[in-house]
Amino acid sequence: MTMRVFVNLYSTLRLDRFSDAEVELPGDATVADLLDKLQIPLQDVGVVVVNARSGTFQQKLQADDRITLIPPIGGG
Amino acid sequence: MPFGYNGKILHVDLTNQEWRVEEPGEKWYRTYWGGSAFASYYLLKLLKPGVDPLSPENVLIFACSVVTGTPLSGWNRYTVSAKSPLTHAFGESEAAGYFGPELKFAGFDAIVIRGRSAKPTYLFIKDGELQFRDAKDVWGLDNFETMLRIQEEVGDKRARVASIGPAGERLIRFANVSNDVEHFNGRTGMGAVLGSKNLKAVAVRGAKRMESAEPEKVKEIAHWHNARIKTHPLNVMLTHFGTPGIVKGLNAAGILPTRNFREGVFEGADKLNADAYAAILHSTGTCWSCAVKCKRRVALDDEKYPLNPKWGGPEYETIAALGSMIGNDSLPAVARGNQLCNLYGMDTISMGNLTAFVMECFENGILTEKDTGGRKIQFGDPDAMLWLIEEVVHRRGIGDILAEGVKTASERIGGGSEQFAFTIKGNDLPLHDGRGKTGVALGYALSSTGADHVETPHDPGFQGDGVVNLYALGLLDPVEPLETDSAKVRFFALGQKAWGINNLLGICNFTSVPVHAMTFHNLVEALRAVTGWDTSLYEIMLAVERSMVMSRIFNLREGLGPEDDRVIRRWHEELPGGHLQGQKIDEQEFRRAIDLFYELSGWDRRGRPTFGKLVELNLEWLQAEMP
Repeated sequence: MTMRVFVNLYSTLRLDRFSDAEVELPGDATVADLLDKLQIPLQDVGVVVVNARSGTFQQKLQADDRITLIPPIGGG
Repeated sequence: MPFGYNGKILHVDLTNQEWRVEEPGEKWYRTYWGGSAFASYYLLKLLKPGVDPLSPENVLIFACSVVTGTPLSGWNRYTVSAKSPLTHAFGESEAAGYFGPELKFAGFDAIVIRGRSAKPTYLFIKDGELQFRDAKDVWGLDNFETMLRIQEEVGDKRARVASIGPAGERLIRFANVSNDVEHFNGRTGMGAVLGSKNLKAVAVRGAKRMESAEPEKVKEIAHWHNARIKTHPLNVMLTHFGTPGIVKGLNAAGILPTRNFREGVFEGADKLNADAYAAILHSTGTCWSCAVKCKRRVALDDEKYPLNPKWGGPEYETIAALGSMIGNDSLPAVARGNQLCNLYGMDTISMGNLTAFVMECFENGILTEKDTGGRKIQFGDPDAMLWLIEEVVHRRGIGDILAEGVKTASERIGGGSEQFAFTIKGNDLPLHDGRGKTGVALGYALSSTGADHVETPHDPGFQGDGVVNLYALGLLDPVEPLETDSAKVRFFALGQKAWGINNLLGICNFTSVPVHAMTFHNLVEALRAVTGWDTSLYEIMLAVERSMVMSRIFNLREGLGPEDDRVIRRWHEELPGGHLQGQKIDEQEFRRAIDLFYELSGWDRRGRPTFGKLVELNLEWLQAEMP
């Protein structure tokens, strides 16, 4: 069983990738699995939002979820 | 009985070696809440405009908040404030670690220090009592030796010591205050104010713990918060890599400050990032009751750049300040420079800016080897940076002029050096390029402390659905990092206050709402559970605005005006390369954004809060102080 999710990437995560895309994942995939598939190292992500709610790496995804990923480029 | 706080402010008169305790009452605490607001309150009440910041008349404040010492991750920061000897305006700097909670446990919410001791002194505060102690045996020692000696003298290895090193004693204008040689009130030269008062340190030790109105509820929220932190992206990154983890992203984004903000991409960034850091990493550390553990300790057995794990590891700001900013790709040299600054007690952000300024002056022939006794100071030479640190802290040769800070030094050097001296309100710039984050540019321009990276929303984090955690403020639209339009001003005005909660309450930005580590709902629930007050986000936001307006009025009183609400000339020029090549901040557009911020904030065209705004914020008492 696979599922489709919608992914928005911002800032430098777009480089050599995309800004918006549909991604196929196994039915039990998490945000971390999505990053793995997109070959994005965990350290390159500062903010995860799933369906307009703040998300985590361990969060389990569902079909048609909308995921936003933003790199950590603030703070000091 | 107050919950969360002591209800006691310690007033210290160094001149007469006397102290007394003020109990301002619940209404005062609920009006001002802590940190920056406590500081502004006492500076406005006790200080007259125009006072020399290094004179005995200056007032020095150590301030916690009503909730400091509550065991939630990141709720451990404290403020040190005074009129700044670097900016001659409102001075303020926060630090984390263990000192703030220990001050609360010792029985006080804040310390207000006036006058000047006739001889070197340190304060020891224990369980509600104060001792003035002779500092003759610690004067001249570095911060690490000072800490050890004071702990020995007071007979308690667990006493927490906030101290100055030789830089503070010698009134270096960007001297800092250290605690545990790992946490620093770095900005605006607060260490020089201690030095001017002959005050070497404040040591604290207390047996009490803060009581909450609803301890079970606090425990429940703390449990939720820590669980969230363990799986929250930014905190996972910080736990594994610390703040060095952001070097790579900023460089890729084209906004890693490089060679005095001339460029945004550093060719040596790979040698400064989190992967490179692994080669010098010794261990990790944390702050009081924090699950993030972002602190880094470094070690290196090297003749040229020896590193001691007890003298602190560089954070992002220092890596950029002593690295890319001066064209240096040697991380061990960065770490060595950081440890020297830590021991001597100098702000690394200012030291990096100062070094870059000197290097650019050299490159343009404004300074030459004649000015430095034969030493070349060139971009890319880390040993020139280490040499400058020694010259400054010992006030030798050109170091004596540079010890006055970039702005004053450039005025004295003249010869066109002013064009390479980049400060805002006299404060050196933290290592973020406003051309790629216009919200940060607005923050740098409008902060009462001058360029300040912890008092401003970093707008790239609020693109797209990234703004979700600010929905509760009514911000529903995504943020465009490069715009300076009305939508950006609306975002900034609210975002600045959302971040301002952290300086008011002594909360670390990395565990706070804007970075998604907390929610407004649970923040307010936690504040209610600690204090027992039926409070709301609205009341907190008003308190933040009150704090910002008070420090604004302090600056207006000192003669600052709208012309000081600006960014550096270089940001009005195009970035020469990288991801954001060609990007600049349009000067007129930026001015319009500043003017719109005044209007939106209830300030007049001269940037002065209107009487109506003072009434809204319960600050009518400040009308008489308005210039």
